[in-house]
Amino acid sequence: MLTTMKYEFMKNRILYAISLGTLALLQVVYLVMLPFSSIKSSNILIPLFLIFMAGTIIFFLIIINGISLFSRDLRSKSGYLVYMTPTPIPFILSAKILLVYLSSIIFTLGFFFLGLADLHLLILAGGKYLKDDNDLMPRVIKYLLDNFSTADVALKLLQGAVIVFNFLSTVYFSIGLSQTLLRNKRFGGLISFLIFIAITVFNSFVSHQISSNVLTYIFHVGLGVFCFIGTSYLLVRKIDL
Amino acid sequence: MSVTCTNITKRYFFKTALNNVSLSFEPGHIYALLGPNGSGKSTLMKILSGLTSKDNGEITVDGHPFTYRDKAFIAFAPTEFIFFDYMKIKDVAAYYHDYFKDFDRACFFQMIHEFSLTPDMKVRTLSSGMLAKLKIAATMSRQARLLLLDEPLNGIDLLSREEILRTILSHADSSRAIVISSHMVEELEATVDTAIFMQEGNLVLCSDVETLREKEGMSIVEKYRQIYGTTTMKEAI
Amino acid sequence: MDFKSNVPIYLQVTADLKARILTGEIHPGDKLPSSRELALSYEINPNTAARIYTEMERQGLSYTKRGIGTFVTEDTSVLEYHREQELKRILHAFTSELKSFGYDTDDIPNLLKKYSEKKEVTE
Repeated sequence: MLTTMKYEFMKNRILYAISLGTLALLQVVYLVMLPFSSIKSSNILIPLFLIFMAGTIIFFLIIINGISLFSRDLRSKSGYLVYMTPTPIPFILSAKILLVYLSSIIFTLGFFFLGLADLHLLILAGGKYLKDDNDLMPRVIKYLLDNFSTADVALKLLQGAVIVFNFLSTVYFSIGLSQTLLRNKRFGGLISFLIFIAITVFNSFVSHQISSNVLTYIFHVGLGVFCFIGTSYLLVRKIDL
Repeated sequence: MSVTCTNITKRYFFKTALNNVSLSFEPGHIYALLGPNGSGKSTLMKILSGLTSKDNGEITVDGHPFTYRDKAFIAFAPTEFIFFDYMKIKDVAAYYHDYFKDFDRACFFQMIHEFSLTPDMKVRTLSSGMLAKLKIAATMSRQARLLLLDEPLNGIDLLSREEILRTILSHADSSRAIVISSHMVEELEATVDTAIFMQEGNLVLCSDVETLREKEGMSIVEKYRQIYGTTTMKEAI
Repeated sequence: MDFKSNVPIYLQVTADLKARILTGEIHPGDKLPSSRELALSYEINPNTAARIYTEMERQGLSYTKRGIGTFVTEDTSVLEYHREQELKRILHAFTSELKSFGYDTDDIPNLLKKYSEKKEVTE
């Protein structure tokens, strides 16, 4: 499975390179503008804002890219190399989902932390005007460390993983269903989308009927697992490259 | 390792790609898989390599039903471009090495060298002939028990075709079965020992090549013409 | 080697090996290549190649010593017999073709003389 993750990573290298390049560029612009900034001109805030913005966009891009790769592997010849290997299908799916999750977390958090560090730098630079805030970063870090133990962070990451897993499983299942059983190549994308909407609506509908939060959560996760198993089954029995 | 298909059927909306095809691939043999476009040759190979599912029928490998584990012993070289865009030839070697225990890197690079290719060449810049050779090198460097070569001679010049056939012969041994589908029927005559003729998804004939010559006095080419119905110039006159 | 289409390939290779033995290219008692080496040098299927020595042994042209290899027979009477068969084949083909072009086989000595002389004259 790690091997599959490695090659999924390689397939994404251009996206990663562009992301890092963008980050580097914005960072350089920011650092260049910093000595010349003053409280009167707030131009410096532009690259800073863009860094946070880029972090958010990257998150979505990585997810979308992951979905697009999965779909492409089922439609075109790029999937041959993947599905002809003696790797169990569930492992292939897990590798894809895991890589999307890990890379999105790493890039997005990376962007955000860099942005926070830059903000701290800005506070330091404008110290004479904002003297009460020049310990912003240390305060933020202290706040984070005080209120979020490692267990809390781990829990948040796990919850994030579940959300990403659920989302991707549902999308993969929709794509898989459209590609295998409803083999309509031309409207494949549209059909996948409709199936996805149908599942999501079903999910909301049932959640509303359940009063308990815990049970709702279990239902969400269960649906995600069902979609994962469903996708595996479809690909094992009905794959059609 | 013997691979047996029994009553394999594969249907698409408007077309039956394979209709009740039953065949057996035994080690030590080289098979020619013949027939016009659309007769089901590629579909059969894709099903055997696990890239496409069948609608009906069974595939057994040494008696047990086909599972993903058997993909480790089956090597398929399709007609299409299958490599990842970023790959260089050495990356292809790395990929095969990572996934297939039986991949022989030395053998691969040796064949690459003989085909006048270099490890640093980018795969997306290769001509179709060079690509065909790369696929052959990668597939045949696996010590797989069933090798499926889909039109390996397409788009390749005469001398390279002969080279590829010689390579196939030198890599044939009693533990592997090799299946070659091709339109270059004449060139396969001496290389194969069994000819499989397909038409519109049906198995028309599976025959030992020498027996065909002994009993019917026909080569594969002549049998091909007889089955697919083209009159030759001689007959016309 | 280019193969004819209506005769089994293993028989064609057998005939080729026989010719090479009868013309002296391969000598009685010589070790013959393994059937795998035959397959590679004639560029034919290994299973097809495996039938060659079986056929040659059937014709008495070779024998196999297990674990050591296959050898050309040293039995001169067998080789003479095959040589004679080849002669018959050549003569039969020759005379048939002459007849099909309208020549008389009784004329053969004269035809040979005439056309051999003609050759010397033009040289």
